[in-house]
Amino acid sequence: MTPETLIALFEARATAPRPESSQMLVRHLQCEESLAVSRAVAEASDRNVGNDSQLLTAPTECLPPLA
Amino acid sequence: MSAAAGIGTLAPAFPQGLPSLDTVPTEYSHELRAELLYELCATLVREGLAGPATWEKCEGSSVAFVHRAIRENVGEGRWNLLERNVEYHLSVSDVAERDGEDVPLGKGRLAVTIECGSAGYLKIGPAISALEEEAVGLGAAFYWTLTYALYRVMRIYNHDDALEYEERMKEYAKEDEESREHYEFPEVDRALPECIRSTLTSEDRRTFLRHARRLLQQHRSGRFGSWIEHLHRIDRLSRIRLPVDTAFREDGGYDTIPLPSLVVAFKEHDAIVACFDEESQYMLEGTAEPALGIVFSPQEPEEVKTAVRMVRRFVALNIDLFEIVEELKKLG
Repeated sequence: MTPETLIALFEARATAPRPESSQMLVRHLQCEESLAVSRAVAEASDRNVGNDSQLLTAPTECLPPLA
Repeated sequence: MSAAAGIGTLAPAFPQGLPSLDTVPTEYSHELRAELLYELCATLVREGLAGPATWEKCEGSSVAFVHRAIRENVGEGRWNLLERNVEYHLSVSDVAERDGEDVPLGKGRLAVTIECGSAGYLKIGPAISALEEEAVGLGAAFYWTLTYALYRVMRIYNHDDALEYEERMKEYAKEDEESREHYEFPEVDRALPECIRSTLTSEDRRTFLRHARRLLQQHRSGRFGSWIEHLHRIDRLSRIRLPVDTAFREDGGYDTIPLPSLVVAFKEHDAIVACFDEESQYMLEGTAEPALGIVFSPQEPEEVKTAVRMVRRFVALNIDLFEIVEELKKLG
């Protein structure tokens, strides 16, 4: 590889469209409502984990009851 | 086998089982204004600061490429010297601080900043004594030439700051009639070597410094030639005229000037160190200007060259400075 081909590689990357997964994340990070929802979910999760008396119940379809 | 009453078998065969986590992503990454990163990469190659050999070590990561390019340009030995003595953080970003918040710079611009997280420490007293023994006035010449050179390019904490702090303490005490007797003053003046105290106020500072440079020049090939050589390079680097990016500082809305990159004391635990210990407790409370900050566009070759020169000067000067610091440490 020469310096010229490396420069061409970076120039191609600079103009290439971003991956869809990246664009989705960017849209999410730029959306105030989306950020507010994720903050609320994270806070609710923290509260649940921090409270020993209130355990999250495992979904029944994943863990079968003991016989 | 029949199960005993009250005892169940653990995880009996179950068609659904536990859900597999294999397909759940453990990290997310996204690219916002990524074209700036790629333009920066291309610019580094165009300027000869990095090339295919660096790229081959980066497993296709452009961020790693920039990081490695900076590190290779500083040089492993010089990088380690800085890491041993001071805590600098260099970043290249498409956002800049504006009143405590990160704001996109826009217009395809990037900012290179160097911030000091923890200051270096220079105990210069023993060196001043040794130089004064060599020739009267040589220690003071060394101290003042170094001080004025550093004043041009970086924030340092030295006798001047300590004297100002003591002055403020005395003013507080004067106003505080009820508990005036509880105030303790650091007595900075007494911590200064005689040759520094007697040259604190010189009527003609320009003439004094010219004389100091002449004296240092006379001893350049002497016993302390290595220290004087470092000092000469620091002085020369500090005089290089580079455009100052005042907009970066003024728009930033910083609470204070940069944090000191170096504390200069005369002895271990002297009054200057005591003053710094007191003042440094509050230094991180607000936002401080970076030690170096410049905005440039990767697509503008002149702006790129200026940014590179500024960072190079900063690194080169700090290398000489901390080489002196390490040499003087050997004096004990």
